Amino acid sequence: MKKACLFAIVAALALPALAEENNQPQAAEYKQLSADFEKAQREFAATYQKTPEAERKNLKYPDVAVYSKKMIALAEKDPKSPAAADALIWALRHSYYDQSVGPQAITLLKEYHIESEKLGDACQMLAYNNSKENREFLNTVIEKNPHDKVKAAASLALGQMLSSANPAEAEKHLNAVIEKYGSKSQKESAKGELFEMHHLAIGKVAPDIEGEDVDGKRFKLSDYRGKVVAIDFWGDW
Amino acid sequence: MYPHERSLVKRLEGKPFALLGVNSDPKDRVRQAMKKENITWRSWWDGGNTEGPIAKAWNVSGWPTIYVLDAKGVIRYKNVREKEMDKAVDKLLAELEETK
Repeated sequence: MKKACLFAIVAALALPALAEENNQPQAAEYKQLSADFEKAQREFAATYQKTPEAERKNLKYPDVAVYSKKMIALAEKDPKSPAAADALIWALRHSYYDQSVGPQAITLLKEYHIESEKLGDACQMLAYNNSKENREFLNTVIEKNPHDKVKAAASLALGQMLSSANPAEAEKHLNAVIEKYGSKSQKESAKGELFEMHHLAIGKVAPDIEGEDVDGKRFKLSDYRGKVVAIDFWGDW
Repeated sequence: MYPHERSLVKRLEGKPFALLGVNSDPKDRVRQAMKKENITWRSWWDGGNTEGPIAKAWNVSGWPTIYVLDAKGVIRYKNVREKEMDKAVDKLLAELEETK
């Protein structure tokens, strides 16, 4: 399993909210809820920036569970509506923080929105939890959703989810993205995932890194052979 | 992460260990961070954003991403943090000591 970090999550959450204009008042409620959450997030980020590093662990991230549960309740009022699909997909996209709503969201999406063009947005987060429900849902998406980019998103998620638990199955899905369903960027992601499985797994000799430090001095990972090395991909954000 | 990494590097001074970064910030930002946070270990500068060639080659999609390699260059641990990272590095150092 690849661990997502706060940065990746925040980037994912920054995706434009999916909103439907035509089914009031559910759509309006969805819009309001997602806007409220985004506001809480922005406020958190601003406070975080202002807080010294040592005190940051005391800060509390907005309680996603509260919003997720409201999203599910909203969807349950009229689960067939497009706003319900938006709300359920929202809950799944934010399930990194609150996994408890995942099974409900999946059940409703499977029953009412399995052909939705928006389902691709829900698939990525499912990759982080290799559960029977998630696997079944993603396989159903591949089977029943008519849109190639959604099939590709589900295949990518299965490929990532199963890369260590079931490499043969993972490869099958990643190859389907490359050979059948994927957009250019989805194909790139699948290729990257396959490369990671083949060359960056535990037990493999790490590929060499050659590049420059911030002052333009060149150095290589292989210069450090004979030493234990920790490589940290980092950014000051 | 900085305080932990600082203490790891300090604790293992003189041991056959290196912490190497791959940094995805713009140059002025990374220079500022290295100064402010007292970052003494070396980093490759990966082009100023998260789409850099090294991160791309290593299929990195989340930050921080951590790899721990043994002295032969074999990937032994992925995404170990803080105490887990300490343990991983200590174990590999002990292993290296034994083979001497």
